[in-house]
Amino acid sequence: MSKVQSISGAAPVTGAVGAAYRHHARTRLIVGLAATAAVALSLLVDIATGPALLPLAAVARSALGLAADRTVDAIIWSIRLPAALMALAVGASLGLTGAMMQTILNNPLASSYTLGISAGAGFGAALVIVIGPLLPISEATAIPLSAFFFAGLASACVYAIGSLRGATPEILVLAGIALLFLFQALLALLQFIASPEALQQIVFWLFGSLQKASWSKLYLLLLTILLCLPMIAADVWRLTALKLGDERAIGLCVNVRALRLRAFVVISALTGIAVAFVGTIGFIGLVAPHMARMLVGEDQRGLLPLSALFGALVLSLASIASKTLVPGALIPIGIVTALIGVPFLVWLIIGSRRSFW
Amino acid sequence: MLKAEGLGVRYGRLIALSDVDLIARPGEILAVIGANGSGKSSLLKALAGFVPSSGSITLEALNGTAPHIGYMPQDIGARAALSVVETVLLGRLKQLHYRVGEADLAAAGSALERLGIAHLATRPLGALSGGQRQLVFLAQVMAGDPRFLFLDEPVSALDIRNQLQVMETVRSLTREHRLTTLTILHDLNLAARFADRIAILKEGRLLACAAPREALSQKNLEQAFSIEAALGEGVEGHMLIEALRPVS
Ligand SMILES: Nc1ncnc2c1ncn2[C@@H]1O[C@H](COP(=O)(O)OP(=O)(O)OP(=O)(O)O)[C@@H](O)[C@H]1O
Ligand SMILES: [Mg+2]
Repeated sequence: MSKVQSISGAAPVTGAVGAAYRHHARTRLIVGLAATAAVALSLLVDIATGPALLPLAAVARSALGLAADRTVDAIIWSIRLPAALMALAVGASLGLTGAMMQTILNNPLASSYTLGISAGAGFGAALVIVIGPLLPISEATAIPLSAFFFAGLASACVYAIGSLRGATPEILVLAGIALLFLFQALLALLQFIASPEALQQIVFWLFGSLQKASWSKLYLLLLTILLCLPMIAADVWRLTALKLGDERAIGLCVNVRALRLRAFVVISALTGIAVAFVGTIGFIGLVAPHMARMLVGEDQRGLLPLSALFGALVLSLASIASKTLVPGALIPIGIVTALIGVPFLVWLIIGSRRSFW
Repeated sequence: MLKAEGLGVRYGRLIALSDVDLIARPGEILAVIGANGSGKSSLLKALAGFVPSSGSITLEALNGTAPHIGYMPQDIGARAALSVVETVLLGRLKQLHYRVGEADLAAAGSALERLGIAHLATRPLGALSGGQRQLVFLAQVMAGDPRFLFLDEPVSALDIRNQLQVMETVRSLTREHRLTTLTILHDLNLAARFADRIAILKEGRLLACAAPREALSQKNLEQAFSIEAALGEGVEGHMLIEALRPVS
């Protein structure tokens, strides 16, 4: 594109502004590296904790394929590792989609709960549990499938209703809340008519559990994440532009409706798969983006990866806590997440002096 | 070159703009004035293609490239937790990659410097004053290297020195780079001083479009703003407009 001359000036790179920007980018990198290190450490501890406490050194050796002890190896590779990695993958998905949701809805309180996606998944799972015996496939397969289907259905409904009125954030949030209540009511109805055993199973599913993790589920989730990442990366600046409000984003030639739709698809797929496998684990989609925002602001190039890292970290820590809080018992992960997440969020909010980031 | 014929904008049943014919040339500043609600912002948005409109609009860039519009909305509120550099970089959204290039940084940096706000570069956008934010958004538009500059009240929040400085910057950019500049202004004296031509809107219709001395006649001012105005000369030969009193 031949241009007369850059109107913003012929001056060479201006030192001060460039330096300031690079300093900011470096801070972001350091925060990212620190979070990655914390995630790695948490992963090791998560693998080591359980009914049989394994020494960290043995865990590290086994993870690197250098283990001597067969039993330790078996415990780690077939039970602990898939569950621990699942915690990271699910946490990262929920953190990432929570941040995207808050961005496209321009609402700091948005998460997969807001749009009824989790409620849809919960209903889908409960439906299979109640009518399970009538199905031709095993419950273990049918529950995630149905949960994913209803999560997708919920978000499709939200978007369809929302787009009748231009798919603005306000309308989408309203439609999401409507769907949330609808699916909660349907879920309550199922619980009402369910047998006592089925009821217990539903409640257990809703609490969320990493014990259902397996390598194949993990691969499927990782594949979804890998497919979504390039789509998100391509839109990352446009998502940042959306933070300046729709009018300004449109002024910067962003097709805000198409952008919201694309983000919506990514969010639905990632959240749908994540909650389908482990149940409705709340709160991570809310707390992780807030942690990231306070540290690096809302440039989505920093916010999204960091939200994913913090999501992974929080769920991994919650997984450790769920195994260690009460010796010998496993507290459902969804409960632990909320128990440690709520005070943490309150502390973050009260403790943060900088109101912008 | 910008040409609009029979331009109309409606929001539901409300007709915000009707039958506007307008021409703006490269290297020229066209100021748009008019009372609140007269359709100025709607005109700019329609020309930029951001609201649906009727009639025809032709935008031709000088060298036949796609017309790149730098549009600055009227609203300067912002709640985003972004730094000033990040905000200004967004003006180059079309060119930006995940990793910000040197050219993008340079453009952002010199736009900030040109407006005298390079020292704000790392500040969070939300922690700026209204006028500082307005300057940042101007820098954002400039950083995008547009061929068409559409500014909706670019100096409404600025102190008197910054008003002059911004208008002078806009004028020199327009001249040097042969931009086609449309700017909405409420300050008639600024319009008289910096615009090559002035378009006056009244209730969605074009009342006049001419050189300042012709457009800013007592009769037009009375019709457009319902004011009685006195016209005179300033010490440097600019036209001065003083609003005396509202007429009913
Ligand atoms: N999004 C909208 N929906 C409905 N009506 C609108 C919308 N935007 C503007 N209008 C109406 O269109 C008319 C023209 O509005 P516009 O914003 O173009 O005025 P303006 O000349 O820019 O006014 P101001 O000087 O106050 O900025 C007004 O009557 C306004 O109420
Ligand atoms: Mg206006």
